Amino acid sequence: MHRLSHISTRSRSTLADKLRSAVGGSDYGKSKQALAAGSIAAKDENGEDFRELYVMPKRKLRGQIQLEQNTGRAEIKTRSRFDLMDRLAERPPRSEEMDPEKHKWSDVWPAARTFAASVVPLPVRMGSRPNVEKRAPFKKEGNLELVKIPNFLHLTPVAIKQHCDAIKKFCTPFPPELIATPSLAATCLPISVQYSTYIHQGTNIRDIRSRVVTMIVDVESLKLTENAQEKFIRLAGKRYNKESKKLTIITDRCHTRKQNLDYAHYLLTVLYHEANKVEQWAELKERSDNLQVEFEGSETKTKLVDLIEKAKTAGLKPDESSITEFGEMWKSYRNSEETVDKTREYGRQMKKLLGISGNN
Amino acid sequence: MKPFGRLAYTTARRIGTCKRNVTTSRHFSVESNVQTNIESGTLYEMDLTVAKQLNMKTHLPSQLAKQMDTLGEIVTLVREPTAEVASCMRVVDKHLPNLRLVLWGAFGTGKTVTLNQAVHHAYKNNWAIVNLRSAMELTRRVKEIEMSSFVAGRINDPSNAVAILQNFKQQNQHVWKTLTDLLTEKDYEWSKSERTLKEKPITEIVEMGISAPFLASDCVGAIFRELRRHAKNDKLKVLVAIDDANSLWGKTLVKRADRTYAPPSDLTLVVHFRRMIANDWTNGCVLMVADKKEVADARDELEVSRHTPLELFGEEGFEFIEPFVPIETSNYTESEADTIYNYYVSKNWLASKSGKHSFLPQYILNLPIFLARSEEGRKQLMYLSAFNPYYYERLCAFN
Amino acid sequence: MLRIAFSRTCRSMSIASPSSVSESDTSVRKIGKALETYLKNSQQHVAMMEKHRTEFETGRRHLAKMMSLDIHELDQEAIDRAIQYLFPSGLTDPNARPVMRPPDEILPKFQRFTFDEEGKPEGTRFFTLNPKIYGLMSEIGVKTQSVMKFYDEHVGSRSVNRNDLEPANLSGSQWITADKIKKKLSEKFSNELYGQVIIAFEHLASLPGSAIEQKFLSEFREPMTASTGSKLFGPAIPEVQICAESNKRYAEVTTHCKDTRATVRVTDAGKGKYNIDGLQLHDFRHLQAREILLAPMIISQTLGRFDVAATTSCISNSLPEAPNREPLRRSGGMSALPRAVRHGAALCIAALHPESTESLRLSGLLTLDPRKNERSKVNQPGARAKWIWKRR
Repeated sequence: MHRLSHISTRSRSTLADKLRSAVGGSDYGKSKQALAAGSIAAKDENGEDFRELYVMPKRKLRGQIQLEQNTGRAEIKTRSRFDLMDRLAERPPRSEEMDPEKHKWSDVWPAARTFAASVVPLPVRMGSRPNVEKRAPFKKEGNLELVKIPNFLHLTPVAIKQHCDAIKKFCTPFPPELIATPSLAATCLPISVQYSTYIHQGTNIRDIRSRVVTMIVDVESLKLTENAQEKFIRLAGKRYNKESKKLTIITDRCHTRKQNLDYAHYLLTVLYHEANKVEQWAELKERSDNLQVEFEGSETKTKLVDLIEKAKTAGLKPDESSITEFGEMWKSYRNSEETVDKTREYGRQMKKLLGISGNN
Repeated sequence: MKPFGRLAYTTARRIGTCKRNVTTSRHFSVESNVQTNIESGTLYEMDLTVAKQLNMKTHLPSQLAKQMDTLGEIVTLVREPTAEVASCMRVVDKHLPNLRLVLWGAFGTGKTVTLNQAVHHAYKNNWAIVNLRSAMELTRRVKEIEMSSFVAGRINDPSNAVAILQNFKQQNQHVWKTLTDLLTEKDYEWSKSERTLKEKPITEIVEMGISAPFLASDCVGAIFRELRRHAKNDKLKVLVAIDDANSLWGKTLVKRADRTYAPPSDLTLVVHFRRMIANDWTNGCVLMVADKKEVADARDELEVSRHTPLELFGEEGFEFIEPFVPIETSNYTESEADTIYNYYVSKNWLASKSGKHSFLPQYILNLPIFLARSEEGRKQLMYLSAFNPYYYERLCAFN
Repeated sequence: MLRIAFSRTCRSMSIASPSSVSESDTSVRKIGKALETYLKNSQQHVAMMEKHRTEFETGRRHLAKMMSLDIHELDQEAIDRAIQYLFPSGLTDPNARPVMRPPDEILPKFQRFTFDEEGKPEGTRFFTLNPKIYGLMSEIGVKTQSVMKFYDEHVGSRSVNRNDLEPANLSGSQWITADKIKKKLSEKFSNELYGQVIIAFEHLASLPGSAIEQKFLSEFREPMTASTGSKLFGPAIPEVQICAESNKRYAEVTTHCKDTRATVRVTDAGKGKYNIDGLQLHDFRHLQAREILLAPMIISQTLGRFDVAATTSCISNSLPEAPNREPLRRSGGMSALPRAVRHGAALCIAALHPESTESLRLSGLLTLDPRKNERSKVNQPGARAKWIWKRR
């Protein structure tokens, strides 16, 4: 009730009158005209000018124009978009224009480049969606994920073949003899050098790992004397592999591959010449300085022979003939890494030698 | 595991109070004084008085000794290596240089227990026993030192020497009478005032050493020398049992005057024991243990180092003890583990029957302590201990 | 809410164009607004699909040309391989990698209805709200009838194969889940209906003579392991293989924990032996390590049945930057290596001993632990630790 009365008072206000007149449109600015014509007293009793209250601008409001347009009193103006001609002049994306039969892809994408949706004609999608059944992965246009990952679009099999054909004239054929008999490589090419080259999707052709050079040398082909070989092995340390008799030098201390390769060759040269030198103190070498422990002439052998002699008098039945067999086992036991199995074998042979059987 | 283990232990003891008549196959070997075939795979109960004489409480691993104290009896499992040692001891002859046996094996496989069983075997056969609890005591646990007056540069170790002599006296009570009958070879002039005359009982040397600690180190050498001589003459047989023998070639913590560590060859007692190991005498058996504790850190549970004789004795020690017979101690087989399991069950050491206690959650009840007597518990104990005797014993004790 | 609209041929409404609707304004019919929207969407969808299909076909031809393949050789597998080569993505989630598939496979499905000439839905089950699932149930019913009839007619006679009179062989598989049936029929239905379908299936499968419907039944079956395999975090349960030499079953899997990578091979019918880089179980001196290693066997109650062989390596050692550097020792303390082996062994046991898969999974042994050593920060002594602050 209160609200209703309130509205009714509002509807009788001067502002409401003005709005009503504004909507009516015909008598717009009537009070102004009346003022100009002097029908309304312009001055009050104090002789001051009448100051009109600012209610709205003195032009048609947007709501008014819309109202007029909707009721058909004003005509609707249609304006053309200012860039319409520009947009019409623009080509559709290149991928739509391309014809797979006519265009060569390696001409379209000759070098490494970031993914461009308008050029690549494949309907690739990428991106993880929570429910793939309802929403497919994002399409390629405006898809940053596709831009972020590397691409090999410039390394298609055709492109690689083209590159190979182009650089073929700089290459020599691989020796056919080596293909026919791979065993020749071991004798003819005692030094093998390994390195890796890394390629990237980006424009950078450098990789820190590409400097590393591994050189593998067949030590037997150096034709060292026995003493020199022993010195060589001692100098090489862990780089020498006893089983395969090969020396592996890995160089990575210089910045470029060439420097590292030179350094590896330098190391090999130095090793070779150093191994061939005979110093004065080398003559002081004793039996205990040998690389390998020998059974022949060792204290163990004399002790064993002595023990077997005494064991005979003690009534045991030692097996003298097996002392050579024991010697071989002993040599391998002393000169290689000790394992549990080898120790067991040692015990077995020793018992056999002394004639002690396990369960008597 | 550790804090929980303690709680679980008390619970298990409380649960397992129910008495159970177990008629298990507990085979005990019969004790006899003659040389018998040692049957491996049987439990063997040692007489408590004998064990006291042989000082088993200090010579066995401390945790095992403690458990035996709790159970009130000394029962050990006779295994393959013991039989092997016994068979080797049977070969010993007055013409044969002393036989050197090296017990080797992984951690906890029973090297020390085998050594002590061999000592007991020697006791039964009336051998003289020279038993060293650990060679590491001579090199690493030297409390006081004094320079030797006998050989310049040698370092004497009075407290260890006295302990060795006392132990020798205690362990050889069964042959003490024989030892008193044996006479010294020559005059021993210990100092200006003390001397032992020729043709006196060799036990006097022991008494001398015990009463005068500053002479003890030399007395050890003298008694060893006399023992070797009499063994050669077939007066008696000698068993030299040295635990952790590879420490005789290890590193020492004894400092010389110039504050450098002395090599073991400078220690008088080490030299005496090395002479005992050398095979220039006959009618004896030297039983050594190659133990990893010389080289490995006991607290480092990640490192797996080798436990083979050459690795542990080093080149020098290995060449010294060669030729020797290596005897391997290994993990339990399933039947051996079962024998121990049945023994623990019969002693009520494993008490809990099954995990039917509602106040604990199921995953705790699945632990072996709550079903120790069930088939599943037996299996879990076996595999969790990886058939290793030490781990098995510790696991059954739940700590 | 009814509006006046026009429709002549409602059978192929999706094809009908708006122009044809306006032409036939002579026959005035009443159509719901919902139906009108449906029609509009349907037409849009058809147009869109057509566009995508042509786009895909062009793309395929381009791809064939790029990879210098014949267009006929380029099946979906070849496309996948080509895309993997051209766009090598290292993302761990396979769903997030680039993909090129036919639009019919990859775009969301549009559910179509069929109507008769009067705009009424075709098919009597439309008003059950779940026409497809009721159709399946009635199909099962018909098959049940026919199986019973077949058995009654042929029991005792020698004219048919004896194996056909047995119940269907469904060992090693289980009924597919409700979600999968929903996907298969492209229809939503309640759990009660799923239960009824499974009951009907069970009944059919239990009948003697249901072997003749083996093919129909196996469409709705899946292998046992497949259900857990999809839920696991980390490597899936491996396939069981048979060793050529010893003729024993084995399974092999590669996993990691912290910085330790482990390739674990579990062989059936063994003695409970462990071989981890040449180490046996007793070489692990800490009880914790042995407990970890044996956990899968204790939980599956198969102690002493499986042999475990594992080789381990340090992941950060495989980085090739400095070849001459001393290799790092593996990180993770005393439990990282056993935990890596435990995860591998648990997966293999789940493969060799499927009965224990569920208990292993509930114990959390089939889940990968992805945690890694946190890197230490610049100007700090560790990952989180700070230098001691001191008032100057």
